[in-house]
Amino acid sequence: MSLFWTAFGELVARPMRSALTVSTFVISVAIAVVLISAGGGLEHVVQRILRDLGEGQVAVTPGRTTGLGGVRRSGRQVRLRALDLEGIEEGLPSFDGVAYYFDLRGGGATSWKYSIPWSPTRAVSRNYRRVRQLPIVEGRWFTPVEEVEGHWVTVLNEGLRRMIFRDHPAVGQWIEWNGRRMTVVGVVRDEALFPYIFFIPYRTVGALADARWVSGLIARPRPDVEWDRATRELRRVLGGIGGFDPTDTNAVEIETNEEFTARVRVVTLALHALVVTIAIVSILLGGLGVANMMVIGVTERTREIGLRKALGATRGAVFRHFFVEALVLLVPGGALGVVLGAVACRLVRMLPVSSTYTATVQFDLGASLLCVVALGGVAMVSATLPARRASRLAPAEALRWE
Amino acid sequence: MGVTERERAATPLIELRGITKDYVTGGNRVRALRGVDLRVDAGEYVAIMGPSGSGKSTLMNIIGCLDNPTSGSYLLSGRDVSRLGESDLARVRNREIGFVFQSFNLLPRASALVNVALPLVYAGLAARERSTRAKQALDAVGLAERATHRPSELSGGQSQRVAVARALVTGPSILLADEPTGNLDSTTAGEILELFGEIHARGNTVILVTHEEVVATRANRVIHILDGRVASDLSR
Repeated sequence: MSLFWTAFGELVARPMRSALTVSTFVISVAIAVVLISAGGGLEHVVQRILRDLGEGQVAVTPGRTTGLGGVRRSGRQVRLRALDLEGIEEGLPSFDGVAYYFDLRGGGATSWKYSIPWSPTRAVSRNYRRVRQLPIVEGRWFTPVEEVEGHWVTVLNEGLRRMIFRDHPAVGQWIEWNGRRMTVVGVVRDEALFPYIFFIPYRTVGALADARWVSGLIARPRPDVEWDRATRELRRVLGGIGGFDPTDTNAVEIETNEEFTARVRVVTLALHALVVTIAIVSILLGGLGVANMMVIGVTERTREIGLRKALGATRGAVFRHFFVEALVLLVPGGALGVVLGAVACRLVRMLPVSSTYTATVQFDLGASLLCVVALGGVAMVSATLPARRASRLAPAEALRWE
Repeated sequence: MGVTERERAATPLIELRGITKDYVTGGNRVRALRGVDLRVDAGEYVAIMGPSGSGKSTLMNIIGCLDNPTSGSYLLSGRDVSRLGESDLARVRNREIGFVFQSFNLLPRASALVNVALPLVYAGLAARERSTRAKQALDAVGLAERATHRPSELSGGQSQRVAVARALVTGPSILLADEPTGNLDSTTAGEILELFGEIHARGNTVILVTHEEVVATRANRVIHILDGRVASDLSR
């Protein structure tokens, strides 16, 4: 305890140097904490965007069969009946789920206060949300009764909800689309299709259009199944329903975003590596700054070390003295740096630039402590090495030191 | 038992035999001491004199265990200090020798009391005991009322008194002073030398290095060092 107060007194006696050293340490830790938290946030964001873009799904669109001469134009339009697709999952063991939908375009949605000139609607099968894994941000999805009886209910995506309700509550309100009024029961996060879209039960769309044939399907292959095997299985089953040759690749278009998401992941990895590199450089530069101050601070006290030895200090006592002095400086500095970093992360999250990104700049305590240990380690070595060197000098030599 | 007492009485406090000290500066080897033989008994007041570069400060550093001789042996109270380990040497410097330097060598940011108490930290005393003894030591040099002052708030003479109090606080048998009046005016120097006289009168061994004749006249024995050798050794 005595050593602690002695060290504390020494630091207080050199206010400017102590303040500069602590400031450099605190700022370096805080910058590294923010950068590492931002790097981690970046991955979360990309994962979220990829999920929103339909990662792990395939989009199936009916095409034209290959006709005479091997061209599509002479083939026939493939049509898949919604009724035939009910329970299709049971014949597709390579898939976790298959949903169908019917797109209806033209016209914009209107709320009691705001309107938008163009917003498509998508009538969806019962399992659509599960297959697409759409997160509900407000309210709920359709109930089985609403789906079976074709109620005039709707679920908006976040973009449309913002456009036509702004800061007002949406759930429980109505919207109008092409003269039809429907009740908003929920809001989902879905940025993959259109910026502004709303969903209605498949049965409901029958009152607006002939929806016997679906616009397309969304299927989610099981992660452990090979892509080729899954598509062959899907084409075989759909060929049976649509009456086309399963080997005819023109009959249905099966699209996946595997290649795209893989590229995005590589870019993300590179960006994350860049951010981590900047954080490491920040730690190194901060470490060098702190080390510089520590080395100068201790080296210029070589005479003092000589004096202490002349008065009876052992090498161990000198080492302990400077070790505790560095600890007294670095422990509160590290704590302050972590707190500052956490506050900065919070401030970044409050920035009104991009809710998607800033919301995921999460303070990372583990990485922060690692920064403190790395920087603190550099600083401790910088403080104790010159002290150790000076303590090994004969007192007379240390006392002569200029 | 009687033999042991006689042996103890016959053992000099300090005995140097053939001490040499070499320094290597700029690739050249410089011999500062060239075989010094010296014996100092307990209770003596010795002045070591010599011109600049004669080796007198080097000799004092070796006597004070602040530096190691290149060759020769040094017996302190019959014990060969050249064979002592680092911790034992630190203990010798702490318990048996008190140092007074020409430039005072006080910690500039610490109070007089903290400066005086510093050797007691390394003696392992508790804070309360350190404070009590440091106050007593300051009182003994007439600076009790200046305990909380920093060196920058003290005059040269007061600073040197603090240094003397620090040298004596652990109750050493030897007081070593290197040009203790070198930075003081003649009046203050006289006061410090009076203090040294009092310390000697209390039974301490005082060894001071000086190039001033007037300072050396206070001692009972004057040793002249010239070119790293003892040129003369005169007792009064």
